[in-house]
Amino acid sequence: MDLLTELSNIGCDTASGLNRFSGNADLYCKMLAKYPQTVDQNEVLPLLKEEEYEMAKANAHNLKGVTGNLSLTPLFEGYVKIVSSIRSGDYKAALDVMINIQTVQDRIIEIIEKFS
Amino acid sequence: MAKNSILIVDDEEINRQILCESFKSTYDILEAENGKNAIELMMTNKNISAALLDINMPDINGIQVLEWMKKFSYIDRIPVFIITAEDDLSVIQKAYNLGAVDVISKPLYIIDFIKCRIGNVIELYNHRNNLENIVDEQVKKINSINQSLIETLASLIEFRNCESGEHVRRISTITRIIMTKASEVYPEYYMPKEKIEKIVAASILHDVGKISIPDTILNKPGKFTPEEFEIMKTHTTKGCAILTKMLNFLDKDTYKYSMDICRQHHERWDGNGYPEHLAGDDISIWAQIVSIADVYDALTNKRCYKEAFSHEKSIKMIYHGFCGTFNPKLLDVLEMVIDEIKIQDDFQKARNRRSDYFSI
Repeated sequence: MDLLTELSNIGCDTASGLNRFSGNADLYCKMLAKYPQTVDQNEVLPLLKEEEYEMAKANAHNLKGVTGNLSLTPLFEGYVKIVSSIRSGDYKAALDVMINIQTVQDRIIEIIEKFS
Repeated sequence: MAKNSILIVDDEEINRQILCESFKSTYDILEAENGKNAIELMMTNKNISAALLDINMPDINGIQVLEWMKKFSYIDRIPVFIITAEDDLSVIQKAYNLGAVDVISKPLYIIDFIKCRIGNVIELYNHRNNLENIVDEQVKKINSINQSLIETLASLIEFRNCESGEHVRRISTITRIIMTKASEVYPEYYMPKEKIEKIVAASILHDVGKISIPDTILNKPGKFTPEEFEIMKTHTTKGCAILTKMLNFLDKDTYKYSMDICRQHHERWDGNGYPEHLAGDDISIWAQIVSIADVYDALTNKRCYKEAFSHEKSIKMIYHGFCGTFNPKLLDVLEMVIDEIKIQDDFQKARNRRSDYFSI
């Protein structure tokens, strides 16, 4: 199985992602390979636990844009909820969602790194 | 023909790459990873046809980039597309208020449609920018024709006055030199360069009213009788009457300067001039400067009623009040620029002698 098929199997809409990269699968995979580093630079869970909500919101917002563009659909949906929850002051909901998507995120990073 | 350039501004490389991949076949791509880089690229690249701008970036964000573009008028020339995952409507509204043409949401859907939206706006802006260039060229051409008309009118008066038409050119040169220095030295007389140029343009019309003075008086070799002098004095007010007919082809500032100069260039600092016996700073600074330029030029050149005096003697006569009293600050300025005026004057006269020789 290749990278895109594996990601597709866990709910990522890689067909639309590929379309977004104008059908250039190599470039799409190259950009997917950058995702783990992007996550490292935009951590959200520790910031939510430390109640650094403004910074957590900024990082979640970045990841929302990136996961959307990479069609990492389960993560995109999660980050949309996190940004919206922080903005409305529902920090507990934001933390719950982040904890829920953490496992999926770890799995996606594992798959990406396997093919890097 | 060179490709249009698109500036892509996003702090996330992944987002920039998607846009690069989509647009690289049609446009040259410039990438900026933050607002500061974006501003630097806009300042150094004149061919940017559109900017695709993220909002949330560290340091200088997209809204601040838009504010800068608005402040320095880049927003009038470069269409800005906000590419954002932002769903806070107040931020998007702010971007529109600052002049963004469109907001495209991340993640990007149906990239071909987005390319069409951006391409259409680029084409529209290119068309508009071309039209603006054509209009600018035409305005320059019209201004140049107007200036030629004004100079021709001013020269006509001088030919009647047995002069070559060079008087008005010399007056404008001396006016520019004195006005520029007065503006540098005295804060109360400060004028931006473009206003000084309008005053210089207006200075050549100072004697336009002489067209209404009979030849017998205008070219009289001897001294005027009191009656003749009264008629001669009317060239100031009649000049203003002529200028009212020129309102349509002078811009507002030049018209005002011309009217003041025409009416006031024979007024004197102590109130002993004409036609209204204005004194001190009631006389506009531009009219005071043209007065000095006019007197200096009349003294240093031959007239139908007198021979030319030397530069040195003319300066002494001005400082000793032979031609009326002038603003002491402007006399100080005259002293500062006197060598420059002499050099310019000698240069202009030498050039005229050369052109006279070649026209024989």
